[in-house]
Amino acid sequence: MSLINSYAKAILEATAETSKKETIAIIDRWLNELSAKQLLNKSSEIIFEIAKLDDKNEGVVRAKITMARKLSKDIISDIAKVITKRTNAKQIIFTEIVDPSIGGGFIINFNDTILDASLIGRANDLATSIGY
Amino acid sequence: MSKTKDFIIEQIKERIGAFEPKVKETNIGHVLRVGDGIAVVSGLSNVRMSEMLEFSTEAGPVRGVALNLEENSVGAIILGNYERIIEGALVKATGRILEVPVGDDLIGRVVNPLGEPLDGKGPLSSKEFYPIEKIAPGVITRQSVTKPLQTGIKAIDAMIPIGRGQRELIIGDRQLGKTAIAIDTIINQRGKDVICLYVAIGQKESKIASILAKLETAGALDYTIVVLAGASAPAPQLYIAPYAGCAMAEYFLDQGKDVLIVYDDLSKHAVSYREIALLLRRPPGREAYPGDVFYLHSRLLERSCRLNKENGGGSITALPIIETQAGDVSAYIPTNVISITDGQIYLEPDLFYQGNRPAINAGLSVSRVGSAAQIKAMKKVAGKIRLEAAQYRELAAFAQFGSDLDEDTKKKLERGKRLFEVFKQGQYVPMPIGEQVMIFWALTNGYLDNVPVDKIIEFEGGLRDSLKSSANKTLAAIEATGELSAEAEKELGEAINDYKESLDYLI
Repeated sequence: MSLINSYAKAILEATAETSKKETIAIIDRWLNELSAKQLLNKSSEIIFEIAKLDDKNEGVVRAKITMARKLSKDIISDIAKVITKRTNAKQIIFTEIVDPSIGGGFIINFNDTILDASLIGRANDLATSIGY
Repeated sequence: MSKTKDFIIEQIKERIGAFEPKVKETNIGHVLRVGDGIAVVSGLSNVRMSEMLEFSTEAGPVRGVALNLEENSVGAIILGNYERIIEGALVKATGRILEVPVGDDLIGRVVNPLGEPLDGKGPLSSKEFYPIEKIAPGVITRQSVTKPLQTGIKAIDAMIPIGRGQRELIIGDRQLGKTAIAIDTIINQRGKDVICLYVAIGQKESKIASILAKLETAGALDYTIVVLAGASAPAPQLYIAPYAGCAMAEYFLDQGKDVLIVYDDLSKHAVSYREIALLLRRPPGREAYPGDVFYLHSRLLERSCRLNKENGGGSITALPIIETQAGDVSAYIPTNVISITDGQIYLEPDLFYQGNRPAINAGLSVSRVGSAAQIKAMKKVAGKIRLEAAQYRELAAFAQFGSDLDEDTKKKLERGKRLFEVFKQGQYVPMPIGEQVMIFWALTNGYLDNVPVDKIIEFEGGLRDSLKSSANKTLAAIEATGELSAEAEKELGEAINDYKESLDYLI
């Protein structure tokens, strides 16, 4: 377990069932600890890790969809079903990006997986398969 | 014309029709840290050990290999220009083990450990790829080593014979002629249906240039592939070089051919692996090498083998080289590789500086395959040679303390002096096995006893020239049949006596 992961996990666990006032006190102590260990420069990475761990605990998956043109709600909902099936997510938060340069179709990016169903991706695969 | 057009259209349709479009799934990660040929990557939750990775850079993808799989990150080696990779860069898992191009196209070429040409002779058209890591052939597929691989070096072929499929270590300090032995062996494979690979690991480019020139002059590049990871190459390239070379050799093995592969040298390979392991923060062990440094070489050298007929009957003979520091063969890496290989050729500085070249220490050098890898004719003469060399070493040490020696001892000392003189051999002049048998036969049968010790080399050269005309058929018969018949012995004796009659320096 990395240092950043440990600090992120520690603050989440320590503040899991505390009041607002207690949480603030814990955060202060935690920041003092970071300062004493000269780790304040890692704070942005730790914040990123806290968000990631919290998403994991809450069953939230953040997915980015890159599409050639705006997709219908039905397709988005089908995509959500696929992601839910693969990740057991309780909630999926989509970020939609329209990028005509992918030709057609879409590219979904969630956790550490890319699902490429774009035209440009298929064209590249075809080029590889015929040895270009 | 229309027929050609139809054919082209049909081919295009067929090839495109065979393509099945599907959603492509890729496991990805992002670079956390990068430097000195290694990268630490987040994500890549499904990546496997030794899987090939692709780092995205502005100048196109750079390849890497996953080596450390940790809870929250993956440690990888970078095989291209790591300076182009930036923090946060996208990394894709390819789902494949690192592969290198293999095939006949590589023969005569100089390539880097990724199989990219370095000799300016144009791109390779090889379409086949082999993974660099492969599990060595099992017991069932192998057979014992019985077929000799002639090095052309008298001292080795007579006393430390190497067989096809054997792993024989060449060990010694720097500048004692370790590479020279390997190159001589490659040169001697001309016309013997053996494909040779020379894997240079951390060698000076100037040294490689001179080796290449030598191989070219000797016509050895026609059957040789050079895999070059020079001294200036990053540690990851040095680390994969022997595995890449071995993969190229395995292609020919699968074709049922015999292959000779030289790893020059595995000390630098171990050092490059130590560098990678330390950068990846693996726990250091003895001499700061990681704990699996034995496995590093054992898994490589186990891939050398001789397959049985049902599996093609091909072989990979390995000549790994180890450079020792101040003759210390008991250091970590030398002892590891000594224990893995089937014998070692030990080169000694004292012998080298006394002018005995190649400076092979006959006492410490062994071949565990032994006379099984010798032709019958050589077996016949070499048995006596080993005995005479051992007797000479013992007596020479003893004789230093006393001057009054009996006739028999004096005779043995004189014979020993001539024997060690016969063992002397120039660089890049491997000797055919027929001529080797002839000179050893002449020595053991006393034909050299009245030749002054300082004239032995001159005598040998003259005798070889003379026999090429007077007993050429006999020498050719020895090489072809591998046997030394009584008739051949008689003819050799007569031819040697005839030659000696023309000399005026005999005692």
